[in-house]
Amino acid sequence: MTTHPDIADPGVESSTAAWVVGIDVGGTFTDIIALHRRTGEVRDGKVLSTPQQEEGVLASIAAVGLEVREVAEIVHGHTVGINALLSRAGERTGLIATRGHQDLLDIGRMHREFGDRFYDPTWLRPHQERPIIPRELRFGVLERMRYDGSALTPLDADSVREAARELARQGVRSVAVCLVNSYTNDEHERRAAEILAEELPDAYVQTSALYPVTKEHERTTTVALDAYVGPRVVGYLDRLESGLVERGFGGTLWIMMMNGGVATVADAGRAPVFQLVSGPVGGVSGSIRLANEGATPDLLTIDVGGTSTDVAAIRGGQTPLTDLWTLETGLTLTMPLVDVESIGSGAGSLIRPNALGNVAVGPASAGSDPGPVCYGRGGTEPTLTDACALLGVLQPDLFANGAIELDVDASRAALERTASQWGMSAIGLAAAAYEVACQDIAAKVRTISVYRGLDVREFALQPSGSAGPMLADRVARILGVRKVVVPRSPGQFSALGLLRTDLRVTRAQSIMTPLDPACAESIEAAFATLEDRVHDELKGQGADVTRLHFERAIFAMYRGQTWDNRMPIPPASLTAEGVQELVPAFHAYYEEHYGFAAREIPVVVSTVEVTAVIPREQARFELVPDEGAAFLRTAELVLPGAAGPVEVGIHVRERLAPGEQVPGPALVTEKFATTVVLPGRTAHVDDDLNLIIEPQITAES
Amino acid sequence: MATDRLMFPRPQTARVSVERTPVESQCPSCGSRDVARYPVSNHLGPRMVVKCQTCFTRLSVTRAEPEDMWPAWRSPTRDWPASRVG
Amino acid sequence: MTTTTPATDTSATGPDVELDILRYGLIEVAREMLDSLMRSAFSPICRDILDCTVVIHMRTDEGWEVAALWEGCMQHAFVAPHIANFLMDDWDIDTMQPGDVVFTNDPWRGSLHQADVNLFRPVFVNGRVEFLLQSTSHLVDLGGPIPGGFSNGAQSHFEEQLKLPPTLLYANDVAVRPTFNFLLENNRVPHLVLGDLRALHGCLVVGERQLQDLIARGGLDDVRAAGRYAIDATEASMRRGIASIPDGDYSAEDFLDEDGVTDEPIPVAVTVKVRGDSMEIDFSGSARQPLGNSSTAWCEAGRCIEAVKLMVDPSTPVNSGTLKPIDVLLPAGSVVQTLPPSSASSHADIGPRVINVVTQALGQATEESFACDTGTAVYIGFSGIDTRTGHKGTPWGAYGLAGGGWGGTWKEDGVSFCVTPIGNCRTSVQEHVEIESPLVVAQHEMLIDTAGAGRFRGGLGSVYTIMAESDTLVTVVADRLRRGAAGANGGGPGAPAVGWYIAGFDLAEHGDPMNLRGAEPLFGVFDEQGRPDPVHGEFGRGARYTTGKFSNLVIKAGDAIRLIIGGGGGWGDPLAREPERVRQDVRNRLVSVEGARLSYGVVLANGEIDTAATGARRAELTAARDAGTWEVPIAAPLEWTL
Repeated sequence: MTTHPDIADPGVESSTAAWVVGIDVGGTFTDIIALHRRTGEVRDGKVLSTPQQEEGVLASIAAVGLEVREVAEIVHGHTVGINALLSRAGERTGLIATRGHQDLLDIGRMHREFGDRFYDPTWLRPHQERPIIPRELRFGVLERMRYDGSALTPLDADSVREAARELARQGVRSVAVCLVNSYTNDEHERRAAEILAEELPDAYVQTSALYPVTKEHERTTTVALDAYVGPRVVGYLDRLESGLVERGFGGTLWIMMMNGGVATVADAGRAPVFQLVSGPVGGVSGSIRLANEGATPDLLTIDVGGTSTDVAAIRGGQTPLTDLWTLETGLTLTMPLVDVESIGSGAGSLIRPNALGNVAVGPASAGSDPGPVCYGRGGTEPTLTDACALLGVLQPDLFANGAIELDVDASRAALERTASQWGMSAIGLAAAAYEVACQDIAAKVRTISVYRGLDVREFALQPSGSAGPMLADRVARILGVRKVVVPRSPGQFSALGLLRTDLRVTRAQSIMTPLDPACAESIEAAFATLEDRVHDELKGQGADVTRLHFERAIFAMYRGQTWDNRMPIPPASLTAEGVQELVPAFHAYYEEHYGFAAREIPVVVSTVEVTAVIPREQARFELVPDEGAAFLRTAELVLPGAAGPVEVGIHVRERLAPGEQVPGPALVTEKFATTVVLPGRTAHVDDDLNLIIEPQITAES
Repeated sequence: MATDRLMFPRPQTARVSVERTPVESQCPSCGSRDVARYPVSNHLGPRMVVKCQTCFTRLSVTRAEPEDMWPAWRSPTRDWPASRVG
Repeated sequence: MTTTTPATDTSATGPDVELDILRYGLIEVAREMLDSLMRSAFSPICRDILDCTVVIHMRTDEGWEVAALWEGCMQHAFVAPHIANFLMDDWDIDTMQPGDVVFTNDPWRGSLHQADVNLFRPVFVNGRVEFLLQSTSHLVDLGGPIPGGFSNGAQSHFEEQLKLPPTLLYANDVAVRPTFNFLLENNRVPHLVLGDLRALHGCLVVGERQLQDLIARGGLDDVRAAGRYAIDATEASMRRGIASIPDGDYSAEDFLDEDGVTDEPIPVAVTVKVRGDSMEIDFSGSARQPLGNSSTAWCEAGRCIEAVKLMVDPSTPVNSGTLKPIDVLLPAGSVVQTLPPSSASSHADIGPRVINVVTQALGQATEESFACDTGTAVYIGFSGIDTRTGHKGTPWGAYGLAGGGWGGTWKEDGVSFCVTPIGNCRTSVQEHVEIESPLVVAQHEMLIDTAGAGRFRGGLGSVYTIMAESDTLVTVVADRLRRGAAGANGGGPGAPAVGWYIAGFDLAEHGDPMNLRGAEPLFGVFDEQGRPDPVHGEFGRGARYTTGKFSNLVIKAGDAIRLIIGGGGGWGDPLAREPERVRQDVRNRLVSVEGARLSYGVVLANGEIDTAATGARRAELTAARDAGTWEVPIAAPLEWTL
């Protein structure tokens, strides 16, 4: 492939800004992919992430041999917000709540954590153990809105002012304001925010305005988390922009958001909490492109990282979205975000007994430090990577572009120690761990596909992450999926995805209106108001609104319910006839998901949601295989289900040309990944240099 | 009689206990002669057990005889043939 | 170049990974069923409060065993195994057909109380019933004189909610009209009950689809083997836990305040006998069944085992294997096995008491113990006919749960805002409750000085105030009114429960829960001026009720009810708690300066620890305790305004 990681291609013009780069900051590495707009040249690279993330970002641009001034656009995903949150290193934050409700964050909806600690008497709710906003900084102010937006108790400005002054005395620099029923009338919240601005002129103040939907706990959590990480994220974006400008940057910086799109820095700074995690989102964006370009619009994606695996189901090339995201039990964000589910098994996951004493892979992980035993950096407990090294799936000399020579003997010794408790052999445990990891990932994929009524046989499985391709063929077999699509550079797929992400800005408003033709006008008015607002905001940010289009969704439920269901609807103006058609669609959706429909009960639209989309112009990628024979050598490895080791061919991915075939069993190795092709399967290379694995065509068939 | 085990008086004493009836037997596990029969609830529901009182080895686990009154109540139609709807 | 991997047999003996994967598959089916049930339910009990659970029972030679389940509330996991067996003892399996659903809510067939209904659906494989899927939830109403399920004051089950022995609810997935008519025509909120019945049925349909899919993938024999494996592995883990307790007989006694009919305390006694890896839990010596509705018919046979799980095997999934090492002895006619025609609807206090008393008994055998949780839910049920504009004439029902705390443990403070371990109740979305019901949730927050003191204190108690915008009928179920949750290992008790009625509620005037102006005592222990005082006060002084279990109280529109629920008990000597942690609690308004001095011997001045004074105070209290003139006080808020 035409990827030149370490050196600048001397043939490239450097006088004008012609490069688009995607930069994805991860826990260990900062990945970069650069694309030349005119020539289609692609470069990729990896540098170690830095505590001050802008340093790693700037270093990554240099690592692919580019000057900042050569870059026209940067699409960027970072982890500043999530890191601040996980390590509780956010801003010292205060909360202004309705009097009587200052403890919503501690209540956490009151339920316990499902899973291994459900019955553990020593379990503490995460916010009790490690508060985001300690109780001494939470104030209940005198005010109360009713459900219908009328004031039961008017706002007592003095009570807000008093709280603000106390917060100022305590050195608080950020304040969350979330009042009960403010989604229906935000007058008190707005007034409270004004008073805070007067008393704490330098503080960051966030209100429910960032996403004014019902559910007081989830909304409070969302506003509080934003206030907690907001100053950190805004400060980071500010430093990054300055650093870029100092180096001659005259292009656009886009920030990856959790709704599956990018936003301008200005828009991203409006609600920083919505960019908490971006890596998995970048991966899904890449998959969306793949789904739209290739012959398979329906993809199941598995993004296998070091500590966990993210899975998503893409239907018809559309971004899958959900509306709730639980960070820790009791800390839930409510907003539209890419529907990615995680399972705690990844390449660095430890092989340990589960609660019943059986073999488990994860959720504990060796992380990047010390990492798997075979890295020789002090790890002593075997990981999935060690299992793969012993099985032969990972070749010691071909790992990570030769950056680390894997110590297979150390892996074997560690696996032997763990295996002894079951009376197993090291290789037996390695095979079991490989199988358990594949089964766990398949089970997670099933929950987001089969259990949502999707027929997965029609889907292709698409792995990413360096470890994805070594598990994918087996996962596909377990799921009954015929086709596996391994994209180019799977290890940097998220960064690549960033490059291909559209601008997406999502806004929502709760309206609690019947889904009834008689209400079509008021529902349409709610949509139109949101769309007009977003349009004007984007125009103000200098976006090219001539190419803008909107997507719409409603959240609907039967009258008397609480759990609403997100349903995308056509973007056209909603008429009485349009509403008339949505009602039976809702009943059908309900029957499919819940086993019944209640056709005589009115349907309520709890919330309307719009997403403004400005599509990214897709540059051409110039893809030429490297010189040389693809076949490297043979190796013996132990494959799932096989009684003993088998001899397989090893092929170099970068040298495989379109149309070339690799019959299984085989390994296809590339710089940062290894693909396993199982017996009875054939991999072939398509025109976009994707590796497609399908059942072998035999004489009989 | 079908309807004889549907209603019961409140016990006369302020506190109530389960009686363990000694059984002439020897525990096959520990050899103890302290063996008793009494009503318990196990993982399935009400059962009569004959159990070593020293080590809790279960010598037998059976469904209650009518005279065991365990549990005291029972369905008035328990021996009737079932229709399509129960 | 060829690198070789040593040839080794991969099929070496070891754990059966395939079975473990199918076992996990069964749990996944249950999880999806619960998700479907919760998201599609109509009443706040099921969709929000999570008083629901789904279970997969497997047919075995002995009867029906639980292979997998997913809890909403914990208690259902422990009572479901018996309900299935009682049901199938009564139902001719040969008459069952695909798509049938059998309903029961009979407490004498294992149901927690009449309000908790159970739906069972056979799953046929090759023409034979191999599994039973169960969904269970508390329904908002099922008729009877008192709405909501807790029939305070009733002395027979004839005065309680409808009680159905096993009854066909769906035949071949067609609703059985007479059964639905019976349930809906005898109901105050038929629209909510119909919605929940559909959701309870719908999740069985979803569950069967997924279980059949699992069987198609794994094969019936292997899925059954996986169920067996799950049960055996959980049993083995439970037995390892029991074996870690020294053999012996451990006895403890606790009590319920009263039954809402007479004012006699109701002792709950237990002897837990440990022999190797088996156990007996014997409730001999407990009170006979009370006259009121505070006893249960059968469910304690399973529910008490949760206490053992909490102590010795918290991490394995619950199934029939959890119950297998334990025989439970329930004296007939006792508070834990009331005989018909007794009333049996108020299970919410005897349940936690049974768990409390078993953990107190086992706490004598191990250092790794924990203090009692609040021990009562201070449950409140609301209902009425809406009078608000746009809602006029709509019947409605809602619930409130104030929370409570779990006890301090050998490791840490107890968790706050967590209902007793029979539950796992989630709060309602209050913004939705206020749309559907003429209620305003005026206060729900922690209350200072309500946690039992200890080296590790209990979780906090809280204050819960609800204002009515239409006349509202209220049922309250509360216990632990005289003395809060017991401490352990020298820790102090949590605060007892208290209730008030506030006429003409105004947030500006009544927003401070420590201000008693305009608050009329409903129940609790009060001093002569009306301050709650569990040590020197008198039970029921000046109060409208001498019980925490009453029904048909009317809150007039514009008025409010305020409840205090105590926190969990403390674990260990509070005089040994790190003073810095006490200071943090004071900063966060969880403990008052005076409370710190009285219960922890920590003296604070201007927010800082006075080390010398603290040393002296702790020495003084230690000496007084040795002399028998001081004990760790019952937690109680101190700084009331009259």
